[in-house]
Amino acid sequence: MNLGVSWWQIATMMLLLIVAPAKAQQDAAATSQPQAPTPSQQATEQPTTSQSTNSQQDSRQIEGAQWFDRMQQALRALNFDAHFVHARGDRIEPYRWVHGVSDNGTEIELLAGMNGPEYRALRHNNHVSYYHSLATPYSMRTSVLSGPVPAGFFQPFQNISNAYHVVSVGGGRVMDRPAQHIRVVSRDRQRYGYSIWVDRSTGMLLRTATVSLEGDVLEQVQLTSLFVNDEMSENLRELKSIARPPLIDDHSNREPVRGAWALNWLPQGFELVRSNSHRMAVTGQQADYFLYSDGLAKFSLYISARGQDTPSVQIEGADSLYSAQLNDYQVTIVGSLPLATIERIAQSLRPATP
Amino acid sequence: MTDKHNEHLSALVDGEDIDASVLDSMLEDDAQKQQFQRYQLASSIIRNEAQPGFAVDISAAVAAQVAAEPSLQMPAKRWWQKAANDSWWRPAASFAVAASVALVTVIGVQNYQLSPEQSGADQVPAENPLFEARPLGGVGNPVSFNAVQEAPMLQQGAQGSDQRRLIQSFFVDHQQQLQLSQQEQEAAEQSSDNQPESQPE
Repeated sequence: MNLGVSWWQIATMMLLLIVAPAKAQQDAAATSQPQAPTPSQQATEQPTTSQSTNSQQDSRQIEGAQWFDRMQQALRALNFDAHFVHARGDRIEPYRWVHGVSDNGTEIELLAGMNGPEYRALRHNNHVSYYHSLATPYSMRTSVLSGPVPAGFFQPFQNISNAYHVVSVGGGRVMDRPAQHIRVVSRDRQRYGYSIWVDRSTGMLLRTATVSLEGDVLEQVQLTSLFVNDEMSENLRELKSIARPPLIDDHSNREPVRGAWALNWLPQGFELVRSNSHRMAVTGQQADYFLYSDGLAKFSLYISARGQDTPSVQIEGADSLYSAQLNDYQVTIVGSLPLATIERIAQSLRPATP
Repeated sequence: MTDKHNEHLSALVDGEDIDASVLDSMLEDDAQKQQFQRYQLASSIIRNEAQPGFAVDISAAVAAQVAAEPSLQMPAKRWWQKAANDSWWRPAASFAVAASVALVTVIGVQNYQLSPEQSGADQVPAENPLFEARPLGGVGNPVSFNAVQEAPMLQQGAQGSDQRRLIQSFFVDHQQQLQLSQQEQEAAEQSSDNQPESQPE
C-alpha cells in the first residue's frame, strides 16, 4: 500500500539527480588524470584530522548519552499529559499518554488508544493493567507499560551501551519546541537504529523513528500535544483507587525447553531473557522457544517439528521474520532486527552435542 | 437514491474526501446509511479486513446518544473523570486465564492473490501485502513483505491460507511472549542470580 511517496524520498531522488552528473564528471576526471596522494601530505594531515574528529566524536557521544538519560528520567519523573501518533508501515494510530508522580513517589501512567476498539493500559508503579473493550482485563508485574515507545527508552543508556552508541546530532524544532536530536546506532551494524528528539526544556521524548541500516524509516512515534505540570493531575490521582484486574497466569512458561540447542552466532549484547516450550498462538503448534534481548531489539526463536508443507518465509520490516528448515525442524526467528541478521542467527542453530 | 449519491458513497468507502455538505445529507438519509454500511462491509471483505461478528449496526445507538448529550457548550468532561465508578476499570469477576493472553485479534490481513488472468507478465505486486497481528493490550504490528523470494503465501486456496495462518501465528505469539517476558525481566533484575535454566549456548 506504499502508494504515497514521502517528501524525503522525493528529496533523495532530487538530490541524486543533482549529484549524479557532478559525480560522473568527477569520475571521468579521476580516470583521465590518476592522482596518487603524496605521502608527505598524508602523513602530516592524517593524525591531526583523525585526532580532532575522535575527540569531537567522544564529546558528541557523551552529550548523546546525557540527553538519552535525561529523557529516561523525564519519562519517569515528569507530570505530563500528551497525545501522540504511532506510525508503522501504512498504519497510523493515535494515543493519549498521561503520566504523573505523587508527593509520596507513586507513579501513575495511562496509555489509551484513540481509534478503534477501546484500549487502555494503566500503570501503578510496577503494576500494569491492560483493558480492552473486547477482552478480559488483566494485570502484570512490570514497571514498563507495553506500548509504542520502546521499553529500552525507560532504562538508562548504560543498559544498552554494550550494543549501541548514542550520538548527539544537533538541534531541531519539534512540536514548535526547541528539541535535541540524538541518534542511537548499533555498534556492529547488525540491528536497526533510532532517531530521538528530546525536548530541550523538559527532557520529554517528542519524537522517535526506527531506522533501517539503509536509512529507511520503519516506525515512528510523534507527539502532537504536550502539557507539563508541576503536580500530578487530579484525574490521574483518582485512578489510584481503582480496583485492578488479577495478575496474569503465565501458563505458557511452565514447561522447559524439550530439545538441546546451540546458537553458534549471536550479535554482541544479546542475552537470553526467556525460554520454554509452549503451544503457539493461533495454530497451537508445539515449539521450543527462546527470547533474546539487547535492551532495545528483541527476537523470538522458535524450533518446531517440520510440517508436511512448511514454507520458507522471509519478511523484512519493523519486525522481520525468517523461517527455514533445519534437518527435521522448522527454525523461525521473529524480531525487530534486519532480515540478514535474523537469517544469520537462524542459520547458526545446531543441535547441542552432549 | 441516485447514482450520484452512490458515487459519493463509494468515494467515502475508499477513504476519499467528500464535501461536508454531501456527507451531512447522506447521514440524514437512513437508506443511504444502510447502503454505506453494505458498501463498507463489501469493501472490508474485498480487502479481507472483515471481522466477522463485529459487523454491528451502532449508528442508531450513536444517534440516540448524541441526541441525549447535554449541550456541547458545557465544558467537556474528561473521559476518565468518572473513572473510579466506571465499569471500564472494573476487574472481571471470573478470570479466564486461557482467554487473557491468548485472546488475540488478528486484523487487517491483507490477502494478496493474483487472479488467473493477472498472473502473467507482471507478477510484481503494486501493493505490498500487509500482515497485522495485534495482541490485545499490545501494539499493532503490520509488516510489509520485502521482495518475497519464495512466495508460498501467494498460493491460492487452502494451502495458502494455512501458510498465512502460520505466519500470523509467529507474529502474534512473538508479541505475547514479549509482553509476558517483561514480568520475568523485572523479577530477574530484582534477584540477579536467578538465571534461566536452559540456554542455547
